[in-house]
Formats: sequence, structure tokens, C-alpha cells
Amino acid sequence: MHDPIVEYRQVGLFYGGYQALADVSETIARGERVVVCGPSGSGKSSLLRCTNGLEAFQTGDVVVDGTSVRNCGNLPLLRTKVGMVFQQFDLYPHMNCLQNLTLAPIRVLRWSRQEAEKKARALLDRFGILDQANKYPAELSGGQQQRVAICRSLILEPKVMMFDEPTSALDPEMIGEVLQVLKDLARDGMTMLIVTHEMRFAREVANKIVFMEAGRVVDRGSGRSFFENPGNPRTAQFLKKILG
Amino acid sequence: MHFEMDWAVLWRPPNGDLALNAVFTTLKLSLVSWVFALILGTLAGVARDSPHRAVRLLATCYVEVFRNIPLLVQLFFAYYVLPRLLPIELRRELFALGWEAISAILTLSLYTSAKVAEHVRAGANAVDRQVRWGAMSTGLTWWQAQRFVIVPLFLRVIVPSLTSEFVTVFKSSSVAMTVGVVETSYFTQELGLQTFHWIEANSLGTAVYLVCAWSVAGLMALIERWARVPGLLRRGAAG
Ligand SMILES: Nc1ncnc2c1ncn2[C@@H]1O[C@H](COP(=O)(O)OP(=O)(O)OP(=O)(O)O)[C@@H](O)[C@H]1O
Ligand SMILES: [Mg+2]
Repeated sequence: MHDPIVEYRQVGLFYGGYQALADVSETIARGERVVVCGPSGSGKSSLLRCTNGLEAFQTGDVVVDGTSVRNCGNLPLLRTKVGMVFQQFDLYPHMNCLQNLTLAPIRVLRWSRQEAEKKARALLDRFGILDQANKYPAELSGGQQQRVAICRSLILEPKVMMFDEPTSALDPEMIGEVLQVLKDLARDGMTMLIVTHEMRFAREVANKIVFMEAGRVVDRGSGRSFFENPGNPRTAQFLKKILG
Repeated sequence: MHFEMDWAVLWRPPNGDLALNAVFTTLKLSLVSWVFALILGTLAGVARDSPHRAVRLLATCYVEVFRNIPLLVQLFFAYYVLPRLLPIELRRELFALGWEAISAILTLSLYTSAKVAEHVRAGANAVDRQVRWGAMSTGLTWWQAQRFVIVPLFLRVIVPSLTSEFVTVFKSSSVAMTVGVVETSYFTQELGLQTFHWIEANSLGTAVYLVCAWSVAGLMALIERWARVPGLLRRGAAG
């Protein structure tokens, strides 16, 4: 486990005077699958956005694949190494699926259109949505949209994929299909950081579970031990509420 | 007073040519100003959302100044005051170039661009910041995200409000007559004064502005249909 892809070093983030993250230190090793959970407002999304510098944290540092985010001379390039999928609605609504996938490879990585489209089709095919290639996001189901969003990140061949509650905006019948995609990625060895409230899924997939509260990591554990004997009473309380 | 109508007064030489020239001048003033207003307004509107504080402040000042001073005041300032700030040779040069029309285009462009900037900004705020995060998380720079995602997307959202600004440019271009540009309003007033055929002259003016407005509305309706994001309205209604 000495092959870190992402290292958080005492990250502190303020929104104006409000401290959203305090002293977060965590390491994600290659091939590791980390699930982040915690109550609303605990800073999970903020932490994800700090990882690729979308949010400019004030203290500490994040190191991605050996590069410091704070002192990064080329954030755009660093961001291509960190795939990011949000809750919903982050596809470009005025572009069809193929265009959604090929924009960044063409503009950031300077691939030829031909090359980008070939790769995009292959990915869409792999996730069973090749027939949707020329449709616009709003013409797709929520589950299909999320799969396209995942493909849009994967096409850049990221070192790590981050998911911010990828299923919480979906109708129940579509949650399964998206979780299946995550499981497939996990099986293929993708390094992942996942914010989710799907605890059964977390238990199945995660090597490590991190529990956040009020901007701090207050508990962590390997997948199984975390659920079976949560060390922290707050964790136990949260799990009880969520698992019912 | 003449009570007898004489529509031929509109095309009897040399009035016909003069009328055509005047209408052409209205079109020229309006279209050129509109193009500048679109470019400047989009830039200013986007800049109001810039990550750099100084750029934001500058853009806000620009918009607030040009939007809140009456068009006529701006035109008088540009036409009468600005040249006085210049050396005499340069001033002569300006008037030789046709400062009347240029100052009218300048003010119309700036005034309209400030209003366009406001629509652009409203449109930008309507675009979910998740979309920008999504774009930037794939490695697009802030400018690339604006250029390929944010701007095209919200232009599609704001086409309807731009339509009414476009029509307003044609109407507003008539202020150019106050500094002596012979455009449609100038011509119809002049014709009325000389021939006392006020009804005929003003009918011409009315018709020209109406045709312009309708053409713009038709054109924008086409663009709106072409630029509509499939399913966007449906999703808006559902969400
Ligand atoms: N742009 C912002 N400006 C000011 N405060 C913010 C901003 N974004 C988030 N916050 C605040 O920071 C805290 C952490 O927010 P964050 O979105 O990271 O929490 P979260 O754990 O993802 O919550 P949720 O489960 O609801 O998504 C919250 O209190 C939130 O109100
Ligand atoms: Mg969140």
C-alpha cells in the first residue's frame, strides 16, 4: 500500500469565514476503493473538489500522482488524471453523447477527432449505450446519463475516478445499473473515491471507508470492520440511521 | 395645409433615392451596432463572472455606466464632448470620416452591449455551476469551458431576450437624427417639413420600422428553433 495516487495532507478549506474542511489527511493507494460517507454538509463534495483543484483550499496540500495541486503549473492536465462524476446534470445539454465525450480529448489532449470518436464509441459500447451516441442528454434516462458522464471521464484514462453521490438523483430502478458500472470498474482495478449513501454497495466494494463530520475525518476502517464494529459512537449512530 | 394625399411624393425624384439611402443608413447603423453590441456584451457579461476580482469590477462598472445613462445623453457626449478632448487635427479628421454616423454607432453599440451583458449574465446564472465543474474537471481551462460549453449553452437560453434588444436597436437608431445623420426618421421629418405631406412621410417611417421589427422577430424565431436544445424545455418543466 505504498503506492499513493492521492494524498491529502492536512487540507483546510474555508468558504469566506466558514471552515468546510479542517485538517483532512488521507491516502488513497493505487487500486484502492475508498468510500466517503457522512451527514449532509460534512464536506464530502468539497473534499472531492479540492482533489483536482476545482476548489482552492487555503491550507495543506493534495498530491495527485506525485504532483502537488497547490503548486501545480498545469491544473488542466492534472484534472485529466482525476475523473469526476457528479450527482446529476453535469453533461453538456447542447451536445450529443459523442460530442460530450470527445470535447476534452480533442481540446485538452489534442487527439484527432477521428481518434477521439473511435475511442468514445468503444467506451459507449462497453457500457451498453452505443445506440445512444447521437442523442442529447435530456433524451436519455438518468441512468444512461450517468453512464455517459462516467464514459466522459474514462475516455481521458484517469488514474483515479471520483464519484459524488452518483446515484442519489436517480429513480430507484436506475440505481442498480449505475452501481453495476461502478462494480465493473472496481473489478477492473480502477482506483476510486466514492461518496455514497448506498451502504450495501459500500460494504461490497470498498477497501476503506472514511466517515466525515463537520469538515473532519472522524472515523475510518476497512470495509468489513467499519460496519461490524464501528469504533466511533457517531459512526455507529450514523450507520444505524442510514441502514435503518 | 394639404388635405389631398399624394403618395407619389415618396418616390418622385429625387425623393425615392433619398428615401432608399435613408432606409439603408438605418439598416447600416442598426446592424453594425448590433454586431458590436453582441460581441462586447457577451465579453462583458462573461467577465462579470470571471474568477478575477479586478476583471469582475471593471465589467460591472462598464455595464452600470452604459446601461444607466440615457442613450441621447451618451450620443451628445460622444458627438459634442469627445472630439473636444482631442487635438484639433484629429478632430478634423474625425469629422471628415463622418463622426455623426460613427458616434451614433459607437453609442448604440455600447448602450446595447450593456443590456446584452445583463441578459448574458442572467443566462450564465441559469446554467448550473455543476456543468462548469463538469467541464473543468475534464481538464478544460476556464476559458475553454466558457467557449465550448457555457457560452453556447446560455446563448441558446437567452435568444428570446436578445430578440427584443435587437428590435430595440432599430428603434433606437433614430436618435442618430439628432446629430444630423440622415436616416429614416431624419428623412421623413425633412420630407414632411418640405412638402407638408406629413401623413405620407410618417407612414413610410412607420412601415420601415415595422418591417425591420418583423424581420428580426422572424429571423430570431428561426434561430430559436435551430438552437433549441432538444429536451431542455421539457426537462425544465419537469424539474
Ligand atoms: N460555494 C460554497 N460557498 C459557501 N459555503 C459552501 C459552498 N459549498 C459548500 N458550502 C458549505 O460547506 C459545507 C460542506 O459542503 P459540502 O457540499 O462539501 O458537504 P457535503 O458533505 O457534500 O454535503 P451533502 O451530503 O449535502 O452533499 C456545507 O455546510 C455547505 O453549506
Ligand atoms: Mg455533497
